[in-house]
Amino acid sequence: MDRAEFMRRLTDLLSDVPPMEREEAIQYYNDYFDDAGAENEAGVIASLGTPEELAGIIKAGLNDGGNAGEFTESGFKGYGETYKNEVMKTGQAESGQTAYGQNPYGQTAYGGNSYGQTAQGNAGNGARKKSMSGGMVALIVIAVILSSPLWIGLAGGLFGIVVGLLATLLGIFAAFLIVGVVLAVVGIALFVAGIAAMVSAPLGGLCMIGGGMICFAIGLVFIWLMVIVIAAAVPGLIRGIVNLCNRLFHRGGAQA
Amino acid sequence: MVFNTGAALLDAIVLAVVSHELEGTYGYKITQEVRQVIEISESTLYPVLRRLQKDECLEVYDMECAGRNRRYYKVTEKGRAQLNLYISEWYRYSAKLNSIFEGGLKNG
Repeated sequence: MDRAEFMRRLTDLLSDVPPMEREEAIQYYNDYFDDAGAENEAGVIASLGTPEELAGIIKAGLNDGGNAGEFTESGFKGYGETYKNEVMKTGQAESGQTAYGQNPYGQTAYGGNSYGQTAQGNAGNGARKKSMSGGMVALIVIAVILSSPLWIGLAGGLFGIVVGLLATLLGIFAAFLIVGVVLAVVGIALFVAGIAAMVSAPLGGLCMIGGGMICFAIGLVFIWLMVIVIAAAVPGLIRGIVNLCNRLFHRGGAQA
Repeated sequence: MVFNTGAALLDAIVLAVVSHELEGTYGYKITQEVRQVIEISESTLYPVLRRLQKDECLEVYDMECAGRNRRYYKVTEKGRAQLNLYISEWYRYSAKLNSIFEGGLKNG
């Protein structure tokens, strides 16, 4: 592969990055080849790796965006991996302005405290300003997986409590409903028995018919009340469950 | 090389190399100079330069050279402040390490 082929493939591979970034990178590497000279062309190509690798490095650099304060001991891996930097932000750099003087190596220029604060503030700022890097996302995924027993347990517990409460409510409703139905049925039975009894004992029969009617009425009232309660509660209940599920899922995401 | 060069240190080295050229310098030359002191691949420096440029530590300009435009990098005021910060921090850090190494030797 010669330079032209290399650059053509690199351009193709960078087709999904913003045009400005693509042109920057292409110009840089065109310059690079020019400055290396035709006699070093093969060496440069060998040293840059494949166009795929180079495009990967360029894209990794774009995505990285320079997360401040995150790079620590993991070290700079150089080839084909992303890395983070610690560039100080303007605000902090200028707040210590008097300290940067003509004497670039002035150890006296930075008091331990003031520098520490500057660096800290800066790290915070950077972290807030910049979006997450790939490394951060990977860490979060690992954290989620590692903590899964915890939050699965928690979510399961919450779910159990909710289901238990709902079942209790449902049980109460069902009990009232059943009482109502039983009363109505007993009422009907009493009414029928009362009519049958009218033949032998008209007075007792009347009493039974009356009692049956009262029973039936009370049963109907129970059933009616429960129907009203359920009609009023079910939509609210469903909304509540949906909300709860949403919140659970969102909280799960935030914890991660 | 035994020790890794962290991203901050690489930034510092690049800023230092570029700052030595008051009129600015270009990618190939920066790469060669950095490669004289640390082992990095030739493809490593472009993202670093681009990032320093975005962070306004470096500015670029094109200058005609041998019939073509060459992109030059130059350290900005911010970049110079940043470099000074890195350098003073490096001295603090290396002094601490030295004192540990030397103290270790004395005690050992």
